[in-house]
This record gives sequence, structure tokens and C-alpha cells, in this order.
Amino acid sequence: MLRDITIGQYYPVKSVIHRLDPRLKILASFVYIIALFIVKNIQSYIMVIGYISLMILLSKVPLKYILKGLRPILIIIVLTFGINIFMTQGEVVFQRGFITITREGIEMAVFMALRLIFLIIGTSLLTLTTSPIQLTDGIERILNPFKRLGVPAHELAMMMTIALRFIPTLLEETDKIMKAQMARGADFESGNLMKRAKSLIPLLVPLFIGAFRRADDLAMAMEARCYRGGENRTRMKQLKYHSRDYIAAIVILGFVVSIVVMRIL
Amino acid sequence: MSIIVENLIHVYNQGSPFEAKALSDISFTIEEGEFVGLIGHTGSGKSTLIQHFNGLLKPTKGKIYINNLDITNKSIKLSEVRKKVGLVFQYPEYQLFEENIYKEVAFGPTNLGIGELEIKNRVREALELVGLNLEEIADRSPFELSGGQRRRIAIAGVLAMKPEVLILDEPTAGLDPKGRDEILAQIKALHKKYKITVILVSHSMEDIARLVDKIIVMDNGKVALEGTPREIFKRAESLEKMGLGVPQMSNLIRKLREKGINIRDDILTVEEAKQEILKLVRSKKNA
Amino acid sequence: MSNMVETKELIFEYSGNEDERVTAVKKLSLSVKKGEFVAVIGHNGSGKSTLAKLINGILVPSGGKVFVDSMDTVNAENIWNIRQKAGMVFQNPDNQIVATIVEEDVAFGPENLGIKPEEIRERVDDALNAVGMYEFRGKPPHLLSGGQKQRIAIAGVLAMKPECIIFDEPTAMLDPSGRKEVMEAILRLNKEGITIIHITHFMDEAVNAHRVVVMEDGNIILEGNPKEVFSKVDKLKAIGLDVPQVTLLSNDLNKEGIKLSKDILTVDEMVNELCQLL
Repeated sequence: MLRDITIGQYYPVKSVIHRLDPRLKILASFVYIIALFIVKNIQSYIMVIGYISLMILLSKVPLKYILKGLRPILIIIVLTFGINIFMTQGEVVFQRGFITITREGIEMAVFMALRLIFLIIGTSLLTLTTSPIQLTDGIERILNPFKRLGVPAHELAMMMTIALRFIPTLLEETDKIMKAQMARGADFESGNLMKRAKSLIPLLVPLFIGAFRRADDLAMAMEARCYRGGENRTRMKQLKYHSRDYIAAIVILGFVVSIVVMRIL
Repeated sequence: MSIIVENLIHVYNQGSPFEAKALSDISFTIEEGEFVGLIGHTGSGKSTLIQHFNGLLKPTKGKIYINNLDITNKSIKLSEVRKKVGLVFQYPEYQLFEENIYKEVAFGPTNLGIGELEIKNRVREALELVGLNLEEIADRSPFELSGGQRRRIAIAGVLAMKPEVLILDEPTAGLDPKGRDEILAQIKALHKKYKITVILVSHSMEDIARLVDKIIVMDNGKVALEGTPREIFKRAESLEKMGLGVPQMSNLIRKLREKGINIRDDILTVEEAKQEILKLVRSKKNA
Repeated sequence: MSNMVETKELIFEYSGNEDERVTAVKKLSLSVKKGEFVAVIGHNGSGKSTLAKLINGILVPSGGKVFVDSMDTVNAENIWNIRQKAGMVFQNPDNQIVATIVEEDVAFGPENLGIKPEEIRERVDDALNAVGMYEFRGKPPHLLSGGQKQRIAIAGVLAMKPECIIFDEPTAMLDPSGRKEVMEAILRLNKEGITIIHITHFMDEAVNAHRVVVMEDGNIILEGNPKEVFSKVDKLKAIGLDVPQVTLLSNDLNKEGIKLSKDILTVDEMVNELCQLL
């Protein structure tokens, strides 16, 4: 059944990384991405590999599961690799017809592909070890100080929460309407593209009407429970930094500093 | 149109961590033209079962024959099955989508590939069956109507497909007593007029008692009891164990008998109870 | 004792299809005492849900007044106090749960009230215990049954420490066991002193109320304790409402000249009466 599918790609195991404060994890992911763009030489790449391997190991998420996340962007990686290997000027190591491969090209292509791979692995590690709720919470609290600059931190977080809450409900509803229309002889599977697109109308119209009805009901229920935006609102669960978070922060800081140092030297 | 179910098994998400057995080895027969009540606690497998009848779910194992046609056979065309078996889901008013009522009711028959004139006749007839007049409402939007009327439009949409078996999953859920009585009366009239087989899924034992010829009780993915309402509702204790009740009248009679009052034990409706009690009181006066 | 809710000649109009004015509530006056359990029955479109929304301040009266604990709902300053005092549980269990985890949803109300985190925690635990859902606190709501979701919705209101809860057909979409769960919770809350206004079209749910109010066409046509109201079998039938089957039976038997009290509501009462007769 559709509602059994877990939303997002959260991988629920108990690990040090899972227990870290979501704010720290979000910020660390940012720092990690920036660091990826300043690495230049082999030594720093080894450093990145070491760091990310440590994180994967600590997170207890199976490597296979993480690598699965690379599949959708495989084509982009190949494309990046191709463009870099053929388009970079420099010392020619291979030439046949119009194809020229340079030493710098190989280097660039490998580095760029690795950079992309590490980028995806790093960010998916964030979503794999942080539940959508924690993620929402973390984003809200990181953005909170920027409220004065007009960043709608609370509204964004509330939107994310409601979306997460209603995804299973709407999936179930889609399933139900689809079956009901199939019982009336609707055919969602055969015919050309035009016909198939048209056959979606009996599904989409009731689904949208239903979603609006739900939105209306929910808005009323929220008002009845005294919801009036983020102003003066408190939270039951407070995010608190623990000693493990400080240790993690030092590890990340150490990582960034060594990357920067390697770049300068 | 008889329905034969043979050793039906259905397992959801077989082989995944979410594997769940919804139906385990079900067998029963429904005779042509019978009005059958299907009752059971939420999660007992009723919804899974009825979705098998028009091919929305495929059995993990077992066979279903509708009038000797094996609908579980792979080579069978699903459109053939859906022509024979009409299924009205819970809260069917939420599946409406057309701009006017005529098109809405015509959606099913159009999908069956029927001629224009025949469709119009069917739409008119189906709307009449649910107490609505085609000329009066054909061009109105289904969304202008009240909830109860929208539900009737949705039921008409299935009736217009002229099914030989009609399955209704809690057609009165959420309706007030008046709306409920109207819809049930229409279903009863329809059953009488066309002699089609009707399967009614309901949580209201009073409605079941007053309408059906036969009851199938499901519990935990199995058929727990099967019989006429009079037989089934005598077994209040077994039903209560399955989280089901009995009609209030059956309950009253049971308690009277416990007090040593000798009254017929298969009473279902208020009218029957009244007649029996009158008989008892009068015989006592004469004695 | 003072009144929890009071309406005075309350009117509510809205524009329906093609801009005609529809009057959903017509000069309705009703007072509900503190601690009372009032059941409001009537068929769909009788104005009972509109009444509920007027009491909670979701709708503003077109005429007349609504007072919740002597606060006027028209006065914008009162609105948050009114909603905290008179919470509301709605019909559709899916459409009133905001958060993705049960306890976070229960915390939603108190969070909006700006209560301190430690106290919210306490209130959430108490509220979940009160509806027997504490062990489900970490579950995502979409995996719960309808009855369980409604109990979560009730806990969400309870955590705001209301004095009154308005139930707007909370059982209409539930199966019999879900209905039973919710009704048991409602009765328990009333015993603990919370004023209950329960809107329903299931007559058996009104049997336990202190007072039954029957609405038809935007106004009250019948009012009294359950026995008084349900003994008016013919009047209720005329407007398309049910009475319990035993009440119907005693009414029918009386018509046949058999003397039974006309206000029988339960099977046990009927059994007792009949035993004396037979």
C-alpha cells in the first residue's frame, strides 16, 4: 500500500550522526560543500575521502544505500566528466581525429566528477540521518536570526511541516480516486501520450478539489487552536547543543582548516 | 449472476518488510439476485475482498467466478469484468470531476464504448433510480449540489454502467438519517426492479437487518459466519467477540429471554418485536 | 452558576449560489451552563455546524450576540481567549492534525499560546493520558485509525486547558468502535468538569447528554432532557430524525393500548418495563 512508503529518504537507525543537532548538521553540510570547492590537489581529495568515510561509518547507513542516491545523477557525472576531459587545453597525451585528450583534461575531469560525487554523498548523508521534522526544525532555527531582514523562517518551516504531514494522506487519496475511476471504466495505462494525459483529468480534478477542501478545513482547525503565525509562539521541543555537538563542531572545523591550509601551501 | 469465491488469498506487499495478509483462504457462494450484507470490523478484509470482485486487486492465490466466468484468469479483459460488476466506493462524491451532471453520469458508460443514444437513456434511467430528473439537472455542476445529492450522482454514475452485480461500500457513511433512508430505499427498489445481485458493506446492523437476504461476516481475513440475518443476529456473543454489534431489537429480545420471557428469538425489526409483544400481552390477558 | 456559552437572537447569513442570501441561523437563543453536556441534533443543513463555528469565533454573527464565558465573540480582543476557553474538534480526523508526530500535534495549541516548553511537555503528556493515547506519542498520525486520530485531536484541544469543548460531528466519519472510543472520551471529560457541546446526528450519542437541543432550519424546535425530547417520536420522525429503536417500540406499543412509559431510551429500561407487564 502507498501509505507504507517512508517519505524522504530518512534511514532510521541509532547512530552518533543521527543524534547530532540538526542545526549543526545543516551548517556542517554547508561548510563541507564550500570546502569541496576549494580542494585542488590529490592530498586534499584524500582528506575529503577520509572525512566522508568516517562520517558514513559513524552514521551506520549502509554504503550501498548511499550509493543508490547517485544513480539519478549518474548522467550528469558522465556529462561533466566528458566535457572536462575533451575541452581542457594543455599537454596532449592522446589524439585521434578531432579528439584531443590532455593531461590537464584528465585531471580536471576526474576532480570534477569526484567533486560532484562527494557533494551528493555529503548532502544525502544529511537527509539520511536527519528526519524531515528535525530538518524543518533546524532550518527554522537557523533562519530565525534573519527574521528581521524579512526572511519568513516560521512560515517556511510551517509549510514544510504541513506538506510532510499531508503527503501520505494525499497519496492514499490518489490511490482511492484512481481505483474508483478504474471501477467506472477509466483507463490510465494505454493509449498515446495525449490520450494518457487526458485520462488523468478524472484523477487530478477530484484530487485538487480534495486538497483545497483539506486546506480549508486545516486552516480552520489551526485558527481554532489559536494559531496566529510565528509571533510569540514557543516550542515544546527545544534544540540544545550537547557535548557531542561541540566535539563534532571541532572535527568539522579541523577538517575545513586543514583543507584551507593545504590550498594555501 | 452467481459469484463463487474459491480459496481466495491476498497478501499485500508480498516479499517486502510491509508484508500483510489481508485475506486468508476465503470461500463462499452468492446466488444470482441475492441481496448480501457484508459486515466486519475495520481491517477485517472487507474492502480488500470487494476490490477483487471487479479486478482492482488480483488474488495472491485462489479463484473468483462471476457467472462461470473466471475473472482471475490472466487472459480476461478487465473492461468485461467492470461491465458486469459495479463498485461504489466509500464517500463516492469525492470522485466527481465533470463540469455537468450529464457528463459525470455518462463517464462510465462512455468508457464502455456504448452509442450516444443508449448512453443518454442510461443516464436518464440511472438518475431516476436515485430520485433525480435528467432534464432538471443535466447542465448543472455536480459541485453545486448538497453532499447527499452529490453522493446520489456518484451512485448513478455506476448504475449507468448497468452492472449485473452492484457492490456498495458503506453508501450511507456520514449521511443524516433522512439521507440514509432515502439511499437505502433506492437501493432496495433497484434490487427489486432489476433482480441484480447487491452486496452491501455496512457498519449499521439495523440497516443490514432490514435489507439483506444473507449476511457474510468477516473477521481477521476470514469468513467467520454466513447465514440469514435471523440466524446471524442470534449469535450476539460471537459477533461481539469480533467487535460487532447486533440490531437493538435482537439485543432486547436476547435480554428478555434471559429474564425467562418466552419470545421468538429471531426478531430483527421494531415491527416484528411489536407484533410479538402484543401477542404475548394479549395471550396473558386471555389466560 | 454562570453560563459557559450564551447566544442571544443569533443570526448568521451568507451568500450562496448566484448571490442569494442564505440564513443558516435564525434568531437562535441558547445558553449552556458550566459543566453541562448539551447534545445538538438536527439533519444536515439545519444550521448546527454553523452554530459551532459561531461559538468558537470562526464565524462572526450577522446579527445578535454570542458570549463565551461572558466574552463577546465580535470583540477582536477576546478572540484568542475565547478559542482557548472553548476548544473545538471537527468532523474529519485527517484534516485537523497539523504535525507529523502525535505529540508535536498535541503541542501545537499550547505552542501558539506561548507557554513555556517544560509546561507544554507536561500538558501534552497529561492530555495524551486523558484520551488514552500516551503510548502513541511518537507515531506519525497517518498510521492511526480514525478513532485514534480523533482522540489525538481531542488531546490537542485539552492541552490548551479549555473549560468547554465543542464537538462538530466528531463521529460522523468513524466506524462503530471509533465512535465508541470518542464517546467514552467525551463522557469522561464531562465528568471531569469540562462543558461539552456535542453536535451529532447519531441519536444514541445524545442519550447520555444532560440536555438535547433539536435544530431545524436554523432554529431550536425542541429542547429538554433526553427523555423529554425522545418521547416526541412523531415530531422527530417528521423532521427526518431517528429515535432509538426501543423508544420507537414503546411508542408503537403505547399506540396499541399497552401502557409503557413513553420515555424509554435504553434496552435495559425496556426490559424492566416489559418484565413487569409479562
